[in-house]
This record gives sequence, structure tokens and C-alpha cells, in this order.
Amino acid sequence: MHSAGTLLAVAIPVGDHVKRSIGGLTFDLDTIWMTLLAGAIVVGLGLYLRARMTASVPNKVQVLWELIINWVGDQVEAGMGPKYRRAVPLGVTIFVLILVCNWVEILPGFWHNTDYLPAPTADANLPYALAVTVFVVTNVESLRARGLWRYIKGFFARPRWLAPIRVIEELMKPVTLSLRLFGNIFSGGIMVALLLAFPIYFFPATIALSVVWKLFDMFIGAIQAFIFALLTIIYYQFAVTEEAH
Amino acid sequence: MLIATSNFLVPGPTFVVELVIFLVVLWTLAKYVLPYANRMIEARQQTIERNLNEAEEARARAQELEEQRARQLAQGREEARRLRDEAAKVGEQLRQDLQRKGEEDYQRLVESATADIQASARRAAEDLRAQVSELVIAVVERVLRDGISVSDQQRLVDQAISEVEALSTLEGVAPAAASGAPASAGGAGG
Repeated sequence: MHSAGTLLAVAIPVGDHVKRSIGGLTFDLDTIWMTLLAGAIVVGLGLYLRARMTASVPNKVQVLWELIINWVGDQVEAGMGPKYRRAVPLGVTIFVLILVCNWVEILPGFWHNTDYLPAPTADANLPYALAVTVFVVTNVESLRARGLWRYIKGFFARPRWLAPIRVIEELMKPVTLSLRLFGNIFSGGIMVALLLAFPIYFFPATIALSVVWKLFDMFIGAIQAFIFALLTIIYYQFAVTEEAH
Repeated sequence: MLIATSNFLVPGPTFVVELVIFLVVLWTLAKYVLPYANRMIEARQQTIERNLNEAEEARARAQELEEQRARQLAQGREEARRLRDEAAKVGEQLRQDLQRKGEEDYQRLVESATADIQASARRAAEDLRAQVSELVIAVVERVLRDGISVSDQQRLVDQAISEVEALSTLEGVAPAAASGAPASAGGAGG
């Protein structure tokens, strides 16, 4: 009766959200308020930085901000030169917002998606929004840098028969970008839900494993934020510097 | 079993809300935070650069001062050596001058002393001669006046002769005693 299969055969709601229909449209309210919370934290930290910023000895928040800004700035300047420093705010915002979104999940819930503070990145809508923004910005920059004709010609560079692949590759960039983030954070949540769904006599192990997994999840959250921001800069760089896709 | 109530990979209206939130955060950071942060970072970099430049300048200045000091030290040593050599030369000169002067003074003193002695001796001899003359005259006068006996004459003559001898002996004494000789002779004669 107590085989591993039956142990794990628990009802875990997947992709379940607190929904509210407004004017015939259904919104994931938990994702929205968590995104608002994360956004407020990011903006709050930003405004705190602006208020307490100093050119002499910086406080911890400033050190953290400067670390991120300098990292993104170095990546951008190394790949595209100082001309494209306008890409820095996008990279910084993506990194910081994703990081905070991933980390607000730190308090575990008792089942998935009713975490006290579920990560909004575990809802595909936020990664999609980020990836679409990156897709639009990079393609607009590519058009500005090369003009329409060379932009189109870029897909038909030799060997010409690779053109469909190049188009698909370009279209897949936002898909892979968003699903990589979503999948990692989403599965992290499911892992917590599964660990907490262990029967009561596993209690000490459940707590220990949850804590360990949660710490690892924080690490994954940072890595995913890093990867998303880095790929954003790399796609940006491809868009404005490479002749062929 | 996992329960999916709907396909959660399909974006819904939430997507638009998320996009708006993200763009608002992006806009806020890009407009109100990052320019200031960049300015601050640049300011700090400039400060650091300036401090480094100042440190470099200070180092160069210190080196220059050190070289100057070494140069001055070398000059000072050279000057000291020169002064020492000069002093030695002057000292040697001075020593020779003093020696020569001392020798000259000595010579002069000796000559002057010799001259004095000779003069004294001469004066003593002259005095002696005068006293002997006076004595002889006195003896002669007494003999002529008193008409003395032969034994008295003999005695007077002996006395005169012994006085003269005494004076002669005095006259023969070392020149240093010459100045005292006439006085004692005079005393004996009186």
C-alpha cells in the first residue's frame, strides 16, 4: 500500500492560479500581485539607491546595484561598444526583476501555487512578456542598425537554403528564453510541493529536504536571472553587430 | 497525479498586465535610477583616477626631492672636503708662518739680549774704570795729606790693590751679573 507510487500519488495542482474574470478576460491575480510586489521592491531599491547614492563610500544596496550595473555595462560595451549603452537599462531591469521575482518565493507554501509568495516567473505570462520585449527591442535595433533591406538580406545569406532555419531560429529565441526561465522556476515550485506532500511520518526529512531544496532553488533563481540577462545582451549584440544571423 | 486545469503554457490576458508592469519598472529604472547611478559611478571613477594621478604626482615629486636631496648632500660633502683641504692648507701655512715668526722673534730676542749684555758689560767696565780712578785719586790724596808711615803706605797700597782685584774679579764674572758689579764695587769703594 505504501509503495513509492502511492506515496507520490497526491493531488498537486499544477498551473493553478488565483483567477478573476474582468470583462470576460481571466487574470491570474496571484501572478499579477506578486509581479507588482517584485516590481515595487525593484523600484523601491532603485529609488533608495538614487536617494542614498554617494560617490564616496557606498552602502550595501549601492554596492549591489553598482555590481549589476557594471556587469551589464561591461558586457554591453565589450560586445557592442559604448554606442549601445542604451541597452544597459534593459539588461539591468531584466536581471534585477527576474532575480527578485524568483526570490520572493522563498517562503514555502503547503502546496504549489498557493505559496505564501509564489514566484511570478513560475507563470509563463511574465517570461513571455520579458522575452517578447527582448524580441521586439532586438529586432527594432537590428532594423535601425542595418536598414530594412540588409535586415531581410541577413536571413538569406549564403548558404541560402538555411534561410528558413534562420527565421525559425530568430522566432525561437523568445520561446526558448521564456520557457527556460519558466520551466526552471515552475519545476522548483513543483519540487517543493512534492516534498511537502510527503506523509506526516517523513516530517523531519520533509523539513530538511525542503530547506535544502529551497536554498538550491534560490541559487537556480539567481542563475536563471543571470542567463536571461546575458542572453538578452547577446541577442542584442547579434542584432546590431552581426551581418548574418 | 498532476492536475492541469488548463494549458498554462498558453499566454492569457495576464500577459498584457505583466508586460505593462515590466515596462513600467524598466521605464522607472531607465529614467530615474540608472542615469544617476551611472553619473555616480563615473564620478567615483574620476575621483579614483584623480587620486591615482595625485599619488603618481606625489611619488614623482618625492623622487625629485630625493634626487635633489642626494645632489645637495653630494654637494655638501664636496664643499666640506674642499673646506677641510683648504683649512689644512691654511693651517699648514699658518703653522709655517708662526714657526718662522717664532724663529725670528727668538733670533731678535737673542740679538737684543746679546746687545743688552754687551752694553751692560761695557757700562760696567766704564763704571769700574771710573771708580778705580776715583779710588786711586782718593788714596793718592790721603797719602799726600797725611804723610803716612811706610807701613801705612804699604797697607793702603795693598788695600787699593785688593779692591782693584776685587773689582777686576767682579768684572770677570758672567755678563749676567755685570749690572750688579758696579753697585757692589761702588759700595766697597764708598
